[in-house]
Amino acid sequence: MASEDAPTHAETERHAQEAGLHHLTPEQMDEFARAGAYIRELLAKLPRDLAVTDEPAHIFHADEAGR
Amino acid sequence: MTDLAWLTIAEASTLLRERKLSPVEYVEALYARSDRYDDRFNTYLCVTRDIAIQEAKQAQEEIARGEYRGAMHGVPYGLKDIIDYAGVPTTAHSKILRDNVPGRHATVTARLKDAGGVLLGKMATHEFALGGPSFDLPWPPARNPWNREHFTGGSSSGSGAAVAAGFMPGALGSDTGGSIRAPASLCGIVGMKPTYGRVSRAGVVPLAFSLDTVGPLTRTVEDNALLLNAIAAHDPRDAASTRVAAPDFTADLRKGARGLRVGIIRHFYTRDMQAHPDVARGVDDAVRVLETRGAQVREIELQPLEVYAACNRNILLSEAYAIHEPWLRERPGDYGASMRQRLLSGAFIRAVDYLQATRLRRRLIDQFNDAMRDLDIAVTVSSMDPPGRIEDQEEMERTYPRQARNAFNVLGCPALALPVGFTPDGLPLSMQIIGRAFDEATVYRAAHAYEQETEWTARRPPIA
Repeated sequence: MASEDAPTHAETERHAQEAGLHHLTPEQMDEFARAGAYIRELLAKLPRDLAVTDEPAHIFHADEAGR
Repeated sequence: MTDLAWLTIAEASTLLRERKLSPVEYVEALYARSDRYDDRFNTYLCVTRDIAIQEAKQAQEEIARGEYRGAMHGVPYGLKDIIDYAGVPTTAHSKILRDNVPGRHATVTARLKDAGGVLLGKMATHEFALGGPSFDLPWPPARNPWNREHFTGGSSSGSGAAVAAGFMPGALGSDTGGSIRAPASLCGIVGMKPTYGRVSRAGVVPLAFSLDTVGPLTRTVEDNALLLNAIAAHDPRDAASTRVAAPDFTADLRKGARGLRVGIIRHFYTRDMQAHPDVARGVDDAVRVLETRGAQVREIELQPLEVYAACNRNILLSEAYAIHEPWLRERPGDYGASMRQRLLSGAFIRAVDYLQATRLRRRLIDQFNDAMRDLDIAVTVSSMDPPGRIEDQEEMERTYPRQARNAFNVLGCPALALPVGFTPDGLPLSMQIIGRAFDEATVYRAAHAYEQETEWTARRPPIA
């Protein structure tokens, strides 16, 4: 992702606080920032073309795999 | 008598039933081997010697009385250390659960006990079946028996390495994004991720509720089917457990490849990712073997691998975060760095992203079922690369996501990894055979037909 889209250190820290992650060390906060970058890349690959008529989200059940 | 270390389950059960082999003698021979060599491979987290001897003696007495229970009676096995055995620690290879001693067996453990199986021990895993390979945990990571400098694949790393090393004929692992098939692939053995819901997860430390499966790792296809026979059944303790009856998974083994309709998913390893030439050649050669034995093969097209991967990781990391959030808040330093960073990713996934991924999964299942409508099985690669060097962090990070396994966790269908050859350096190569939901029997049939034409599962790692 483009670097200008990356959150600032302060934003990452605020996100951690909001998530209740109050005990992260500075090194773990760096891991948290890298985890965020990974997820932004991952979500960019998730198709967004689901239509209203596509099925609603639901609990996946074993027997549905063979439907 | 044959070296007991390399008996298959099928061979051992015949000898045990006919009282030509004592379960106690068998257990002692396997322990003698792991006592001698496991300090090189770190496959065991906990050796349950007292339990094994007691269970082996019980099996011996029962068989002597004519109370033979079936193919697993007196047969030793291992459990990935996320699967409960009452009174034995289940650590998930993590400091977080170091003192966790369950009071009840997992359902799969109870089923193996009922079948007369003999627990040899609890096996190494990646931390909580996700983070690894890691060198900052209370126990070291398992090493590959074909070359201990190389990665076993994970997360059922100890299960895969122990079976490949001849420490046990079979073991159970779990698979949420490929964790049975990866160690099977990289350790040169057979690993089955059954259909989601086919095997109970009750008493198994969860990673992601809607993706987790439990399944067998063995050296041969027949053994894999025998072990799945022992553990597959409906279980009211697992809300996702199916009521679809479990058949005898060995029933179709000897029907051969003639008439099988095979779809090869080549774009996974030629366009979506470029597999290492040895891997691609191994899979293509294997397909030709099936074709020469009478299978009808054609190429099929599914969604690109990255769509499945994004769907799998989105769901997996969201559900894993939901499980681990309390520990992440209170004890983040008690995780290894690899596990912690992967888990923390879950804090960035919004509810809408998770829900859209679950809707996308429905669509992907429908597309796959359409593609499989006139096919019996599909075939593709498992790992894109031969096993990397475990201490080369750059190589590990590069090769870790290069796989075609998590698509089949998203789809919920059965997928089996089996050996298709070796690199010039003697490292295992593997492919996947994929079936329609609840049709593990046909996957085993195709895999057995291929296995009979090759000698890969008969090779032994250069340990002694």
